[in-house]
Amino acid sequence: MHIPDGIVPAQVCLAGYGLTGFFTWYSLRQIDKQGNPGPQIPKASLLTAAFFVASSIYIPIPPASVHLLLNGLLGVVLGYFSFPAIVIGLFFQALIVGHGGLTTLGVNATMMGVPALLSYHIFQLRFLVDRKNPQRPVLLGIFAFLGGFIGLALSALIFMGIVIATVPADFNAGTEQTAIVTLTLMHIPLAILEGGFTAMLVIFLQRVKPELLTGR
Amino acid sequence: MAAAQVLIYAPSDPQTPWTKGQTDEKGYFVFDPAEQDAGQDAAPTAGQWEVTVRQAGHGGTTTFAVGDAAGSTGSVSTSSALPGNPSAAPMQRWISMAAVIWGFVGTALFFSRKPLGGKA
Repeated sequence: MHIPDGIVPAQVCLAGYGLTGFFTWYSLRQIDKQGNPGPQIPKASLLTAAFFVASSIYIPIPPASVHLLLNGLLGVVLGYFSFPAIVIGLFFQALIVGHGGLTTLGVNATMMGVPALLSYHIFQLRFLVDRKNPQRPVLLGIFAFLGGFIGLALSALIFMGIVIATVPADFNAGTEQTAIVTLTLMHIPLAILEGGFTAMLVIFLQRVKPELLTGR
Repeated sequence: MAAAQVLIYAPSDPQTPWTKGQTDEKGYFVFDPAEQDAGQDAAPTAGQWEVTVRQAGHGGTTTFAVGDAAGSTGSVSTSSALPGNPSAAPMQRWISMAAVIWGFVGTALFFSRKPLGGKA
């Protein structure tokens, strides 16, 4: 679900870089407000590696196959670190694996990073539901699932919107739209899978190392 | 990419597709730059041809030279395929991936190290 070079017009690429610049600034500002970022960096670094590798893991969902994304998981576990982590991960994916592209780095970062930030805020909603005991496994699991699921599902919807809006006139728009909608629908089972994986990981972390979960 | 849409642009008119088509189930699309289909303008075959492939927001564009532009004269016999992965050979890619992953792990290890006991 990476937009490669040459698919979207230059204006969209520039807008993507502009938005990525803004959200990177905003995320770094929030990180700075939280105090010393040092203790969070090992976690962010390892999950950036996981994000980098995840796009190479394909899951066959007929009639084709889709690859893992993990942006929702990054949002839930890393909080505001998730956006710069995704930008760095996408940069190396474009450079080494050939997923996405350097001109579309901004578009892809916005497409995956903004839902990751939203996933973080969804995960934090558990504090509103149960102020006394927000770390209950059931509550953690539900909100982590929602974070993982919505992170990927929203990215797929943004992808669909961008590529449908930018189909060149020379191509058959109907055929392209059908292919895009089919690809987006194929991401629903993947979103459920990533939501479930995020929930399991969060519950596991809460049991073995609860300080790794971003608190309020 | 199977069943992807293909546009071919001739050197004489890079704005209007010279022909359109679709890749087969193996992702191949074959065309002959020298052919002059009925109803098509006779496009000079020598020069830079452009091929654009797209399916569900994925694809790419490549160009290739035919005839004099390719440094040859006489009849044209050229075939081209879109690059599957622009980066490198599989072994080189795996080594690069391992180096990047080790970079992330090394960063994590560096920032998780315990502070030294003594004072400077």
